[in-house]
Amino acid sequence: MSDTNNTHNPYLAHWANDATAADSAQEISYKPGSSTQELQENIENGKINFFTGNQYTPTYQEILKKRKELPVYNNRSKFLELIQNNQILVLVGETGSGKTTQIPQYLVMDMLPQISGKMIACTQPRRVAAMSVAQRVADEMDVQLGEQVGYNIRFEDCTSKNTILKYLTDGMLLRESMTDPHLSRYSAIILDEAHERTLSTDILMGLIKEIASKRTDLKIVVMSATLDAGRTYPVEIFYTPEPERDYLEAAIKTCLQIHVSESEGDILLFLTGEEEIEDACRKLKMQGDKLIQQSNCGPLKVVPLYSSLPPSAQQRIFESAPPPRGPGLPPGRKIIVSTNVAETSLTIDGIVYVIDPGFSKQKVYNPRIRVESLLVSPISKAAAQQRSGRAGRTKPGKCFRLYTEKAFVNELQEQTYPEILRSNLGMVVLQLKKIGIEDLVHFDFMDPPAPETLMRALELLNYLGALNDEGDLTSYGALMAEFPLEPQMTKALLDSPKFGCSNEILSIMAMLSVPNVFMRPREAQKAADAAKMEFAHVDGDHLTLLNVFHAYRGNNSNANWCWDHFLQYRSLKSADNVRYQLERIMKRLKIELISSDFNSPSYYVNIRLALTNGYFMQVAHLERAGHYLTVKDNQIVLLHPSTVLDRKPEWLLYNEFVLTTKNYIRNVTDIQAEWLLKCCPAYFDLTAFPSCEAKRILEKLFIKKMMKEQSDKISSKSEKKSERKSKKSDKKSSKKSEKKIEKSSKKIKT
Amino acid sequence: MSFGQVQLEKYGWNKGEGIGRGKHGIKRAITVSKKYDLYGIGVNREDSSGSWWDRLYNNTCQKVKNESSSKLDSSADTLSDKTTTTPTLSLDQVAAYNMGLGLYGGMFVKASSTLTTTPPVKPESNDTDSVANLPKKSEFSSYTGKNLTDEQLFEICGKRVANKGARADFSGKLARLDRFENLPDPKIVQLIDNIHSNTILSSTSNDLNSLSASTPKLSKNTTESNLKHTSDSAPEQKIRKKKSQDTAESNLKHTSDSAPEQKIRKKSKTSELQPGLKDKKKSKKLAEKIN
Repeated sequence: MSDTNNTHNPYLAHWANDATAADSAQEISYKPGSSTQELQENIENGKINFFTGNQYTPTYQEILKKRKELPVYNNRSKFLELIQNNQILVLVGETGSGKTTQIPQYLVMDMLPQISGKMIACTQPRRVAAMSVAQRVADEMDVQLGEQVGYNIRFEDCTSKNTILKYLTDGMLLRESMTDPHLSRYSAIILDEAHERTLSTDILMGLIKEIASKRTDLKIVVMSATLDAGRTYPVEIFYTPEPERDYLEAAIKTCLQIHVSESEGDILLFLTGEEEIEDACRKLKMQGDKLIQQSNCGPLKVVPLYSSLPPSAQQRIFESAPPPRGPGLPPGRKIIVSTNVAETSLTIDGIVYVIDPGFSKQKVYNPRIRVESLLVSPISKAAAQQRSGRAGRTKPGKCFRLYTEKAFVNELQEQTYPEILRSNLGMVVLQLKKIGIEDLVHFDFMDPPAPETLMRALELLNYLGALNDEGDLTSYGALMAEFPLEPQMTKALLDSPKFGCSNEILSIMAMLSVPNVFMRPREAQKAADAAKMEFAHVDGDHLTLLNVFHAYRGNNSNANWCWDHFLQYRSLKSADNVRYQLERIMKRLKIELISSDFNSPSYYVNIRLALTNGYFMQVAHLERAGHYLTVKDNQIVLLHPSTVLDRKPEWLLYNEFVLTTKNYIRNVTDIQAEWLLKCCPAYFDLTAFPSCEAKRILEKLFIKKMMKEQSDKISSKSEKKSERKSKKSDKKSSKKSEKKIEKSSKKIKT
Repeated sequence: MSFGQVQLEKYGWNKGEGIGRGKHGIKRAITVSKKYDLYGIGVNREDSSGSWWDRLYNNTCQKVKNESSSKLDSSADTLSDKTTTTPTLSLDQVAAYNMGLGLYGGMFVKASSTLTTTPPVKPESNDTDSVANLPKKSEFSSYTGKNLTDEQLFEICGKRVANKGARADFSGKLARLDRFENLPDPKIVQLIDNIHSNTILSSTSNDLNSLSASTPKLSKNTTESNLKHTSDSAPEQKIRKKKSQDTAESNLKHTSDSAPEQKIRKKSKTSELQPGLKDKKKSKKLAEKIN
């Protein structure tokens, strides 16, 4: 597929009739793929913008100065020489060397996508990074974001027909490859942050290897970061002489010890999650205040950092440390208490001391019980080194590891397991099948997943109807792959018109795709709970979410209204956007958007039926002992405390299995057992069901159902045969049939 | 046979093999044990469940024996100084710590190498403040608490006992208070008072308290345990507070937290301790004497 003729490529149709971009640009003195450092520098140092034809702004000149200081700047000619002579290039650089922002620009100037008509793509593992890097590069190139430089993340496409350089999440590029298997709209693909080994980047690596052999014109750059060690100042590492019995307490104590005894410099403390971080911040503030009251040490600023924090709060990490309380007094200090987001994805200057308890929350998939969960587990040696490197960005630093050196050597694994080994692969397998990869056993995985994990994914897709019994993608499955949602969600959505409630399911799925909408500040928990109960629906959390969404829309999407009702405006706004994007996909696929009569008694029943139709594999049954057991996997679970249900329905559908101190099911809805038998007979095939209370009840239901069917048949027959026969004989015959059914049910039991 | 297995076998996979071109994939899914506690890495769960007290007791007794046999000083301050350092530290290291080499009162030890791209190698054995230099357990065998009779121990502890009821009669505390009254250096008195008016009790003056702390480590006095002691030590606290008011114009650092407390304590100790400990060589000699 080395065909570069634009007119034959449907994805590039817009280039053929649009010559404005090339017209307005400066005249180019070289052919694509033959630039040199000198030629590129001439363009950069000129007065007219290479891409827009406008004059460069003063801001551009300022940024250009800074760009020239980046380490990657001096390696441009070498890079150009290598990429011009090779198809695939692996580039390793330190974080902060400028490779993410500069290399794509060098490639743009070399390959001239505005002439060739084929874009350059640069993947990022994180949505935030894709957005912010695109903005930065747009500024550096002195163009409008979304024009020549754009980004594309799930539910947000900020590109235009003029876009020549596109930053996108690795998941988005994978998604594009489903409809464009040869990635023919690109002349170069840059896989950035490959060392992070995200699920999508790993799959892309396998795919791109194959594409590269078919498209010799496609350039591929794989970029990976090293540890910060080389470019940073030395970091002294300390271990505890003995294992810590309470790493949280030890961490807080170390923070305060550093504050009273060490010279100026901020502290970065790594903890595992939101709750722990908030707890630590509270304790640090409290003990820090005491410390300050009673001594002349400097003031403290404690800043939490985790991903579910709103952006404005996240920005606080860049605030400077507080000033001393008076002239001649010791300086203040900033303490950032963070999850592992500060390990790689964020660079915070001013950190001199790092405290590393050695844990982080990591995603793990257990194929036995088909549950993906975030669990606290020890970090790897590589992660520990990365963490300590964060202490040496401004000046020589110190890293305090709250474990022994022996534990570091003996108990930490070398590398963090790549995501592909820790994930539910349902969606990935669906995508691979859609791309046309039938043989998953021999796919070029860098780290192949466990066979059992792959089996569970295939089975899930089979039960959902995306794969037929031969393992081939069905047309229904092809439709499912269009949605950037987990397969169960997509199934509920796709089938919802059958139940006359696609509008409602769309809203619920949008609400489930965004961060928690309910705020519950510690100081106003009761008020927050009361506010939530105003939206509560008697049948459970899904319908409560629907109520919230409707109320939000009903109040003109007002931020103040959200605040008054303890709702997260940001989440609701994003749910609104997600809903809009999903609606567009639905319309494109010609899936009916309908609602049934709100006043009909079956209005909510229909919605619950539609949910059951997608989530029948996530059901729990109330045992006589008073606890819930997940159906088929037989895991004891509890209702998550956040639920609005104040009773315990016999059957529950759940959206999420949460492993914390206990096994919780979160976002639940009351359902009926009969619905389960109806929606997926294959999954509820009782001959292959582990024995449990749920099975016995389903069996009874099954027998009842059969009996009813049979007696219906018999009665209708007998009516036809003779109307004279008395009702008694009718009963007799039905008794006979009852016996028959009992026999058949015994067979099932055995 | 499950649908999934059939699908994989269709493409040449056999049970017991990995996935991938070279069938090099993992054969079983990764498992992670659930962790609901705050134990740090390397804590042996079984070990920590019940026997910590025994270990603490034995370790403390080692220190006590060390002290009494070496006849360095019978004062409680030196005694508790030993108990507050990491129990497995050798006398060398105690000396090093007193000279300011031990970081944060022994809470940390330096890594055998500073940050490199490769993980640090195991520490060399002749490195003074690395873990590897910790004495083998057998070196302490003659000092374990088991070798003491109850009477001996009772005597060494200043007739104080470690059970809860023992606090009721204050005999040990009064004895210590007396000692404070007789302390020669008012600066040190003030220092300690300042600390204690906040923390009420600390291991400096009360090795009983260090016994009741959850671990033998210097800094293990949690605020909770301090609070717990408040009611017990009310009279003591009163006296101290009064004293600190007398010497009120203090510009000394003092906090309720154990962190600065340690630092001050360290200072006070070095100034208070025998000059012999200032020199590492001399302390070595001392150690030899003891042995």
